[in-house]
Amino acid sequence: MEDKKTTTGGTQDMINIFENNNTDFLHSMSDITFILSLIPLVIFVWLAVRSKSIKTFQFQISIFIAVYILGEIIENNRIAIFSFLSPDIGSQIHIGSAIFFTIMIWFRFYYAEKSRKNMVESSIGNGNSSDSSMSSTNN
Amino acid sequence: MLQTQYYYNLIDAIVYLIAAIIPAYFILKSRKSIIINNDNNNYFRKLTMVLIGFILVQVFYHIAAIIGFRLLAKGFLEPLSMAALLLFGAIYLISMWKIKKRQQEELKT
Repeated sequence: MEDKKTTTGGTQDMINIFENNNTDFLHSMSDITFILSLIPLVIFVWLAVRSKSIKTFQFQISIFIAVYILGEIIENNRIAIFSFLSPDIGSQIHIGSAIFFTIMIWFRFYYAEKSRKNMVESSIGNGNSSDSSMSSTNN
Repeated sequence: MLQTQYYYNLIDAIVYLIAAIIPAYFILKSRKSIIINNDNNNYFRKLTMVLIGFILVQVFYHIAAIIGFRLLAKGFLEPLSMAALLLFGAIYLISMWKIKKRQQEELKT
């Protein structure tokens, strides 16, 4: 009887250790995810600032990444300021960013097809899409 | 898993799948015109492929979360999708530089 109790207790300890390790691992992976998502945000914000237009692909994708990161922060309760918000709000923001991304892709495709212009701007200097490299029409 | 989280992940997966249609269409379209294979087309193909990679990994991440593979979803697929987005940003930046450089060279000549 005591033997069985010890075995059950041991298994429980093992599960606890595994759960703790799991949580630590997930925390460190979420840190990595956070850093990995910040780098493209910096790249696209920089390109958007250089393009000086909100109509550019760079600007729109930087909005998507920023909203995604905000959702991630709230979901993981990273920053104390947002800790009063429920993690559900983080998931809802994630959905919002996904919907924004999808609408952005579809609208860009629709207008590119309609006006036979580039879907993704290839010019850094301004918002005008002068080059045909990323054109939806020349493929 | 909480019932609400299940629906959030389901909606996310569906929305990303809808987004994947456009890059998939472009990849199929560019396959047909592979004969006109210039640098511009290559940039576009690379960008589209990385973008579709990011979207599909996001879809798999949400599906894994629905099934209950939290470790796989949060520990592997989410960082992988962000790595794909980072690669997309890097390729985009490099292609912009190359195009700008070429435009400047063309202006000089």
